[in-house]
Amino acid sequence: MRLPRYKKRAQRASGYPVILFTIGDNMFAIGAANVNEIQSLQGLKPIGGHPRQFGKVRHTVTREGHRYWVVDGNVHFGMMPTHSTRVLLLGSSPVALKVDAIVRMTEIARVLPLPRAFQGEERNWYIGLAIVDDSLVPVVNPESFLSHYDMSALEQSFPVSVPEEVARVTA
Amino acid sequence: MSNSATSSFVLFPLGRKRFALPAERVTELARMDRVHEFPSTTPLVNGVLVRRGEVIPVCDIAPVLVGRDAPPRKFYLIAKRRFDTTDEDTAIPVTGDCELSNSELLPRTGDLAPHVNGLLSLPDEIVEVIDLEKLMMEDAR
Repeated sequence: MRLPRYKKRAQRASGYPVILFTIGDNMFAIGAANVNEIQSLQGLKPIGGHPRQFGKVRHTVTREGHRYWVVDGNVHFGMMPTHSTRVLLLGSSPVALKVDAIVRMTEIARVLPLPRAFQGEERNWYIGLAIVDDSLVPVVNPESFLSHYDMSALEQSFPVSVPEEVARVTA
Repeated sequence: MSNSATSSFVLFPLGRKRFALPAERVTELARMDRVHEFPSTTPLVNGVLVRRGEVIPVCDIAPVLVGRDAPPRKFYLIAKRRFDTTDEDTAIPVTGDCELSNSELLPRTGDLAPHVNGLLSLPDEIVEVIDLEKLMMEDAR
C-alpha cells in the first residue's frame, strides 16, 4: 500500500504521526514520514551468498526501479525468528524493514528520551520512547538499520543486475 | 562522639541477604508496577516503568549480588544514578521491605567486589554498601 500524501500535512499538526508495527511480542513506532510504502512479502528476492555474510540482509525488493535492501527486523533487534508478513520501504535510504504486522497509524504527543541507563545498541536503534494508549513503545531510528558502510559493502557484493538497471532507467 | 561519623542508609533485601545504599541516593520505595520491555542490549536493564509521566529504567541487580535464584521481587527501590553531572532515577527491584539505618560506614576489607563501597556493622549482620554506578559499569564490561 502506498502511503497517502496527507502524512506531510499531518506532521504539521500538534502530534507526530507514526506507524505502529510489531515484531514478535514487541510493538515499535516509526515516523510515518520515514516510510514510503508498505507491502507484502511478495517480490522479495533472496540475495544469495553466505547467510552470515550480511546477517540481517537476506533479500532485496525492487520498487519502481529502485532496489531496497530488506533488513530482517528480528535479526536487527536480536530477537528470535517470528512470522513476518510485511516490509516497510523507507524513504531516506534504499532500506526496507521486514516486520510481522502493521498495527495502525497514529499520532504521538512527543518522543521521550531513552533513559541514560540504556547504554547499548539501543541508543542507536531508537530515537526515544512514546506512550501509545497504555503502552510505552520505542520509536525506531530509520538510519540505524544499515550504515553507509554496510550499504556500500552490499552494493559491491551484489551489483545491480542489467534488467534491474534497465527498469530503473526506464522508470 | 561516634554520631559524627554516622550516615543514613537504606537497607534493602535481596533474598536472605540485605544490602545498603546511601539514603541521600534513594528517592522512594514503590510497589511493583508494569515493566515496559523492548529489545535492548544493556546488561541488567530489563525495561522501564512510567511513574507520574516519567520514564524510569528498571535495573535488576539481584543476579550480580545474590545470583540467579533470588526470590520474586516485591517492590522497587527508586534510587538516583549518576551520569556525568546529572542524576537519573533507577528502579531497583527488591524482595521485601526496606529499612532506614543510621550507621557508621566502615572501610572495605578483604576481598570484596569493586562495587562494595564499604560495610555497615549491624547487630546481627554485616551489610555491604553498594555503589550503583560501579556495579553497573562492572557488569557492562
